[in-house]
Amino acid sequence: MRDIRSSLGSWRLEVRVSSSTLALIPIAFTTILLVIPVAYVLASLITSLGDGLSYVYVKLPPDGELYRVYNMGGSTLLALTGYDFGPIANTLILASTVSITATCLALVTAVTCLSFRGALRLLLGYVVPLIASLPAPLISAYAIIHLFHRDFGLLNMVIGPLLGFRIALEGIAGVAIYQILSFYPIAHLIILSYMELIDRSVIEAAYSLGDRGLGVTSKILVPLARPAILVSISLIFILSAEDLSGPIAFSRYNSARNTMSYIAYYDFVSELGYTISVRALTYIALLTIIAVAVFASTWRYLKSYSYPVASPARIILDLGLLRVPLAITTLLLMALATLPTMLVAGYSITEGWFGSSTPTGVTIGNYVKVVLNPYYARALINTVAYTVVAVMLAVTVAYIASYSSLRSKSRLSPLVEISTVIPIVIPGIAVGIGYFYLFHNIFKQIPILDPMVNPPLYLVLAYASRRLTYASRPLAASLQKIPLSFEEQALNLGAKVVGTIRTIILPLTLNPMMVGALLTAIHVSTEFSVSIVLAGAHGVTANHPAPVTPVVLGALTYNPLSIHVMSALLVATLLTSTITSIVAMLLVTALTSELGLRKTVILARGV
Amino acid sequence: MASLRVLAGIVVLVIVVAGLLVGFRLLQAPGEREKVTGAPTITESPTLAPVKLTVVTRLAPEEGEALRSRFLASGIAREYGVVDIVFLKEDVSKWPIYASEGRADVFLIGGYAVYKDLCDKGYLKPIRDPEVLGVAESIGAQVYRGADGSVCFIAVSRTIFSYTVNTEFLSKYNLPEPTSWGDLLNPVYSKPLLVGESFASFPKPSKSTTAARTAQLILQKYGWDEGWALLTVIGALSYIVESSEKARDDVALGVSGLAPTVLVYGVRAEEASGGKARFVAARGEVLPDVSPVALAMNTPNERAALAFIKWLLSPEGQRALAELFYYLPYVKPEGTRLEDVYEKVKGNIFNYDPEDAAMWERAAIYYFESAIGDPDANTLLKKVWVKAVELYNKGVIRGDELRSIAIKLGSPLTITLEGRTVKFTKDYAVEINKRVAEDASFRSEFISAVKKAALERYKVILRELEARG
Repeated sequence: MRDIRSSLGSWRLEVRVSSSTLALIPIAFTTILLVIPVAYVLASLITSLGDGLSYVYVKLPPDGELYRVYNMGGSTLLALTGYDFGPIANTLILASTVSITATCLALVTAVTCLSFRGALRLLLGYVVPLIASLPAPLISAYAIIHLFHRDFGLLNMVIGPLLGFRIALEGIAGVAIYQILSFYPIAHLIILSYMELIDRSVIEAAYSLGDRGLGVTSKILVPLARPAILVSISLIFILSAEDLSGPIAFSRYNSARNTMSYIAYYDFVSELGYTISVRALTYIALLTIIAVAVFASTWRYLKSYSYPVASPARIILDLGLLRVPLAITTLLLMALATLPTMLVAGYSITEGWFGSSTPTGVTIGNYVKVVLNPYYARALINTVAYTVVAVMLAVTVAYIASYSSLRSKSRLSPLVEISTVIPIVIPGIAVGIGYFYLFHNIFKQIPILDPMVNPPLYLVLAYASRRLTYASRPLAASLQKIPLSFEEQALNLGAKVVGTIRTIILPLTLNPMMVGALLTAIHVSTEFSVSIVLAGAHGVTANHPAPVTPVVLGALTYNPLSIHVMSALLVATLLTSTITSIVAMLLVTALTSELGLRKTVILARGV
Repeated sequence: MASLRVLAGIVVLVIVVAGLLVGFRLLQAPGEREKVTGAPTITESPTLAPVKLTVVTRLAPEEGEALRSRFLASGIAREYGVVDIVFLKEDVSKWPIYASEGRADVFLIGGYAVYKDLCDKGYLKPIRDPEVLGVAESIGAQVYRGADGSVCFIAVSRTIFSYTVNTEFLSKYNLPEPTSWGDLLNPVYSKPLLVGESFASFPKPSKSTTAARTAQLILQKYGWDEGWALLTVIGALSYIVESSEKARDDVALGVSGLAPTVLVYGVRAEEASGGKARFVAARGEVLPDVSPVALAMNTPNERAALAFIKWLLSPEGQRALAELFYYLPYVKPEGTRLEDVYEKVKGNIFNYDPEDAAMWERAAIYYFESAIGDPDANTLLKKVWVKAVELYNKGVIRGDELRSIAIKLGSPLTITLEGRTVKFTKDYAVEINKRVAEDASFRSEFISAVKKAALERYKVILRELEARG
């Protein structure tokens, strides 16, 4: 094995780049792959941007109410609806509420998980939150109705008889609760993976001084975890602001439709052809400004924060009497967060559950159909292939971006940080339309570069660029924990910047990198808008280029009863994509960092 | 323990590698498709070069696959050497590119306005084949001519639009089944609103051909002013959703009691709901929209493309359209499930005028979405209508007064646009229709002006109602 590595190393090309040159890579990546295509689509409206001011308003007093109680023929219904302040205020209030609540919940569960050992820690610390964070585009909207509908929702069937009243999640309140449940696992993963790197000796020192449980948590863990907390709040804030799933799931209610992301997205979509609007441009611009402002504030803190301790030794927290109640709380929260995903998984192994309180049967036939049907199997394989390549590309650029933004003294550092945060707020539909028109016009004579002929190329590029934020955020938090002296020593010994990233930064940030790679893989494999625009047109063949989302959309459009097979397709695709991506990342990391596979896996443990 | 981990790692690696190999194999597999029984092979047509047709459509992939199977098994496919046909569901924005770059042979299904626009801009090749035109004439299929008099596109069938109801939802609120859209003016359908639910799910017309056609039918049948009043009340009674599919699924699940649907969606809702949902042929208001087919401007396979069109117009093709998509063909579908539906809808067909609708369609769509469908406008509209119904239920206002309020709420607004104050009459809608469609800035100004006028009106009416109790 050593001989193989040394012979590989002898002909590996050492790229010599400076920090400033490195900074250009993520900037160019985002500019070419996102900014230019979207600008191409919206350029004609730039002169009308002033008219967009009419879309900047706040409704005072707001419409609606926080909740309303209805007495309906002997039963009581508590409908949580929320206030409607208009799209901009709704978005900001929603994002603030969701980010702070999700992060607080994540702090509780992350700290609790630090008190567990072995399989329980792995399960509740990583596996269950990962399952809970799995998006299920298109199908989750059915799951939401199935779970929360005021009359036939499964929750009301349980709590109705128990509590004597039913609860309805409607309007923007429903969106808030849905987003908290969806994003809290992401916050948990970011915070926990960061806390795993905190030096155990600091905790042991506190124990030896007589402090325990809550004291250690509040005086040591939480302050040390500040970068992760900030990253979590900022990331969840933006995820909430740009989220479409929640507003779509509750879009029957006007307040849920009254968010910037929903309005901007649907302004592009029409049965009469793609359209553009001043309103969409205005809201994209506002979301970009908000994202930059939010991340700029955390960037300044992260850049100045330095607690350079990196240790792979695991913390085992002693929570004393609080352990049991906190463990129960964690279990309940995790169970709630996984409910929508578990229901989708439930659809995949049942039949006849659409519109009924119980399925008519349990079967693995849906998965058999997915594997045996070449049309579905091809969608799965396409998705896995695109995901693996996109994740590797995104993580590579994320490393370069994080290093350039937080470590180098280049004047381009702020721009690099912006380049990693704006991808998330640019609507995928705009990216897809921009890719189609711009790159088709440029490359229509070169089939391999024409998106009409070779959509996979553009799908991978769009996925990698749009999900860059997921890959870079966990890295940004953990980078400051690596002592500068490690890098200085490497540079003194003649290592170049790329070599330093490869041999020092990469091994020491393996855990958060895996979290970022996982999140990226999950969200790439379920990407919807770009996939529909670029690869939505295909026949029922065994060699189509479409990933799974256009296939699911087509099937559900045709027949809602296909929800069971489509759930199986989605679950199988998610599992295969994420596992394959992680394995691929581990292999590439092992080769790139010269650590070898065994050491790489050890460093990445806890994922 | 360490050896177990190594073993686990090896197992994972083997699975991944095996998966990649299988995947690679599949990727490398030639484009084999399910062989269709009776489909012509190259050797069967030695004198003809084998043809693969490309059809750009709005049909779902599964629907295209079903039609493909039927066509390839036909004698016409064999006669013309068509060995394969692929259906690409593409956004209509891309259709001009397919036409101008010779990437498509045929366009199939989509709205009349879309085909008219393509025809006017020269993206459709005239159909001059006497055999095809003769068949079309013999079955009474509508043909549409361009400015030069040549046939631009032909209607091979008709899509039936009406609505689907959920009987369980109707029972929950003890509501009668509406027999026509006009019945929704009855205040009884506002009962769900009083407990925070909506009676109907109505898609935004720009996202749903079904909703657009429904709005056009109401405006043509009830007249411009009364039609807008009815649409405004329907908007007050409805969840405004973003697609026909969502409306269909809402009514299938029982989330709402009514949704405008095309016939095939009504059938799917019936199947998915276990019979709780039912497609209703609205009395005198079944809208048969044309299902067009046309040749793409630079089709590389004109002869074979015409053969496909000929097949669609043949008894075999008409039967396929009826059986697979529940379209209303020009040849009565004997012995199919559609025969009963055919009889039911026959007496309720509204004489929809697509040419008239095309003149104001876009303006009407964006007017609806601003005055009725916009979240702010719809919230206020619901508030006003709930107040009006509450006063009616208390006996403060009578039925005719409630109707007057509906007219007041919904009569076309007077808007201020580009310094001009103008009422949104049909003539004005026709005047601005093209500009609303093509000029994004003007469309934005129009939307803002309509929304502003709507909010002002609704606030005034709400204040008047609140003053009464």
